[in-house]
Amino acid sequence: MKKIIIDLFSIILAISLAACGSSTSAPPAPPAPPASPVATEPAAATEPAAPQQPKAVTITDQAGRTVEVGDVETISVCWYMANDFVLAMGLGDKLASIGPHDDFQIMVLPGIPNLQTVGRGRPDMEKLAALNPDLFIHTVADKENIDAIERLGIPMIQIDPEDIDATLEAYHLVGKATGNEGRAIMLEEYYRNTVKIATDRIGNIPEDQRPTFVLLGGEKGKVADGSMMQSEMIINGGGINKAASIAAEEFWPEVGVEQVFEWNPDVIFISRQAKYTAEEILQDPVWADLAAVKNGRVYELPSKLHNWENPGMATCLGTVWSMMKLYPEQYSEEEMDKLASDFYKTVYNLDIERSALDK
Amino acid sequence: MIYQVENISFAYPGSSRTIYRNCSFELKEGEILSILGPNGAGKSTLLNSLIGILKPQKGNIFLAGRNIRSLTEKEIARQIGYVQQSHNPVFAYTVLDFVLMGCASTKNLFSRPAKEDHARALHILEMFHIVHLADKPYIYLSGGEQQQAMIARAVIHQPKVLLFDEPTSHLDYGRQMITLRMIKKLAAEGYAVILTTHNPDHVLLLGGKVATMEYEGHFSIGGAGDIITEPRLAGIYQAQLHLLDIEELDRTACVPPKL
Amino acid sequence: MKKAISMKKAISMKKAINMKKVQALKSPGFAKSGKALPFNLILIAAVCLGIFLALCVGKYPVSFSASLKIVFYNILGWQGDWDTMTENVVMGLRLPRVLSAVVIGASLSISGATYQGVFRNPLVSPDFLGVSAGACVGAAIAILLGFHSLAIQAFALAGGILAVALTTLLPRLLRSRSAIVLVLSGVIVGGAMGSIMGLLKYIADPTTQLPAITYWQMGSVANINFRSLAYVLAPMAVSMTVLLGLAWWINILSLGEKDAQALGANVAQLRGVTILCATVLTASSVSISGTIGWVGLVIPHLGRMLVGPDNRRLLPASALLGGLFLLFADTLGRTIAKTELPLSIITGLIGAPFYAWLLYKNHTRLS
Repeated sequence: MKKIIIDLFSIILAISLAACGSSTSAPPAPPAPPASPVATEPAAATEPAAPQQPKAVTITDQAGRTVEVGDVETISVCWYMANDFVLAMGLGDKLASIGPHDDFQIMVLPGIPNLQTVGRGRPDMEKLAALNPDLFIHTVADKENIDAIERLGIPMIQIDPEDIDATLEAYHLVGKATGNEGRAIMLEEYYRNTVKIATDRIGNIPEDQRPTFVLLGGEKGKVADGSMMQSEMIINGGGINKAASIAAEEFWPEVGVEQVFEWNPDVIFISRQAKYTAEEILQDPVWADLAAVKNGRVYELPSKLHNWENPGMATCLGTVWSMMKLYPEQYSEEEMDKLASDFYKTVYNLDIERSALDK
Repeated sequence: MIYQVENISFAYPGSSRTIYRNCSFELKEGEILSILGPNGAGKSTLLNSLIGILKPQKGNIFLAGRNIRSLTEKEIARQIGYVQQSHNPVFAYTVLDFVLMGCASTKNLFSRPAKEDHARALHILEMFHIVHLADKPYIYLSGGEQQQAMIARAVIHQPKVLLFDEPTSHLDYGRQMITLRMIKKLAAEGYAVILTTHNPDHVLLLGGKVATMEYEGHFSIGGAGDIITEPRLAGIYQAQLHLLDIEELDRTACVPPKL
Repeated sequence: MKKAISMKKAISMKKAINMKKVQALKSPGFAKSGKALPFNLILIAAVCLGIFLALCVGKYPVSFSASLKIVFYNILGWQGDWDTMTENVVMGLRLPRVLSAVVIGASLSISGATYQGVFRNPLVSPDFLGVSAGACVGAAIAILLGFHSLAIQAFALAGGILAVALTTLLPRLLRSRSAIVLVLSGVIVGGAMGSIMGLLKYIADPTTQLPAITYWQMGSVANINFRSLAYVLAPMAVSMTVLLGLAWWINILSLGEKDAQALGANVAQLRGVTILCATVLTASSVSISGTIGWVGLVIPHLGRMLVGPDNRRLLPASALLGGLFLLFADTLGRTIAKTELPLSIITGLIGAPFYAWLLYKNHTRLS
């Protein structure tokens, strides 16, 4: 009897030791040199085992952390905004988990509904540990879970797409981490070129002749202030944000409808967050005397299927679209249609008409 | 006949203890019924049965000739003035407002005391010598004043019977006598009065009918002289008590022996 | 006591004789009710004045006198020569908001005073039976289903009433009529609703639905229009009328169940009607404004301090004070800074210290 127990004990011990051994040997060799595949260093020649040796890159992410990322075969996300950074980078097939997502993203990657979930917005540590992805892409807004994720030994980059430059940098970070720098360069080029369409057409229009706008949020009294990416997007499209000077801590500060009346902008844009429609405002007799309403210039940001105002590649479309709405004579709907089709083909490898986005 | 109680028995739901068993009595206008018993014998339970808050499992109670089971709260309350042992309202209603609440049984839903109710309330307060307190919050009154206000509330709707739950237990000695005298006076004016007490001497002072309640639901009723006997008192209170005839006072008193 | 002879006879004597005597007395009862009427009149005047003032301030530049003129011309049905934009701001934006604040403040306060009376507990607020929690769940479900504002309102109303129905069902299942069981039941239902709320927020779309739910929970009268106000005005008016009519019976309920029954009150019926009305009031308010704290708890206390505990005086006074309070809080919130201050923050900032002060003032009475 005693013997059996001892035997059992030794077996368990052996198994756990083996497990420990394998788990310590599994992650990329800790102090591995940052050997990139293109680098032709003498070290590669002296070491014949180099192809087996997993490459590792050191990245400084947008939270200022230095992260070492090895070979990335699996990517994990649990934050909605991160999805686009994986999908636009063409890394969908590496996704091992996903958090909240939308129909457009399923369209780009039909396998999304079958993916695991490691949390919604904030990671579920146990699940994340079990999944043990090669890369976890997360938000800088999460400050509570960072230590724990680092202790799990899961390589993580935190991104902070708060404005256009930071958004494009985030693509570069993902590219660097996954060895897809070329794709990130292409995306940035595409983005800048698209925005240039807008800036080229309006470049010679002086500030004081540009139309003013207000972008309304979830409630009619909430607006996008100057610090928000949505504002930058429309300003790039040639608008003057009446709410730019409202420097609020929170997103979508509530200034009240009366303030919007006082601003009386030339154009009113409505965020996709809104619980109301452009039609509602156009029909409301109380709003009837606002310049934008009088001229029928109240627009909901596109589109129902794919949000052009969320941090991500599509904000370049949003810029051109707002330029078109602000200066209808400068850019035609047909041009927009063509641009959108090209954008979806290039960025997401999707064949889709612009009209289908608002079905 | 105000009360006709026939063979009622009561036990709290889920409890095996019968609070009172086969209790019967009758009460006419002007009569006093003192219910005597030690603490916890079920005196308050019996009173609550008589005002319809608790329903006896067996037997019937007839109030002014009608079975209490067939009466609404309002119809019962119309006949009864109920004076609680103590009352602790959460809100500081004035004495006048408090007394006026006695009118509830004469009012329909959505109606409220009218001018004549106010006048009557003030008049009663005046007769009780507490009209100067009419504007004071009830909860600020002394124990004796509170009881007077409570009695005023009990009589404002001119009921037929007054029920007092331990009317003397929270009062000082002088106040106790005032209260007993008042009860006797109210009976003399035609109210039927039922009260509970654990002081046998008070029962002797009041005279009238006496009922005793003991544990295990024993209930006996009769004239004061028949019911208040030394052996019965000894049984109820587990203590030796003496009944003495005091010639100077022309009454029988119940007194404890030397300690 | 000597004069107390023949009370019964005296009581039944013709009042005509007594009346004179009564008039000669200080007759405090009449003095009180006589005093209360002007007090309410003062409050009504204050509310009217408050409405006028609130209509005249805001971020859109309309001069005080111009606003005043617009308001009076509109009351009199005259046509003014100002531009319609200015009129739209005053009558179209400010008026519904200002009226909503008054109506909601009044509803929450009457509701609070009623609950406090019925449950004999001056510390309960109108949502302790789970009204607000239920309304939140209802609204959140409607938001998750992608419904429009009127549907959200309807769901919130239904959710609030359903939560209270659940709360009152629980003691019935336990065959208990005790108020404490009911309060505990409210805690249970409120807690359950809170958890459901957490779950709903968890599954909500973080970019669109979650902010909508959070905004709704915060409470605001900023975006109430006449249409949504019109939908709840009828149930509110009916409930308020019933409660004002039952005010004296709420006094009797507040004496306690046994005493109330001994006095002839049908306790179950009265409690049912009053709780229903108070619930409808709160649920209607919450359904258009979201949850607004402190008003229903603090205002009845202020009312009691000013007019006494008699609900016949307290309910109307609470309604007026509550309307005034919320109007003040909202007007402050929309004018004080560049961005609007959430209503609950202001009611809390004013309400909490005020409540502490009330407790300090009344500590002798409470101890």
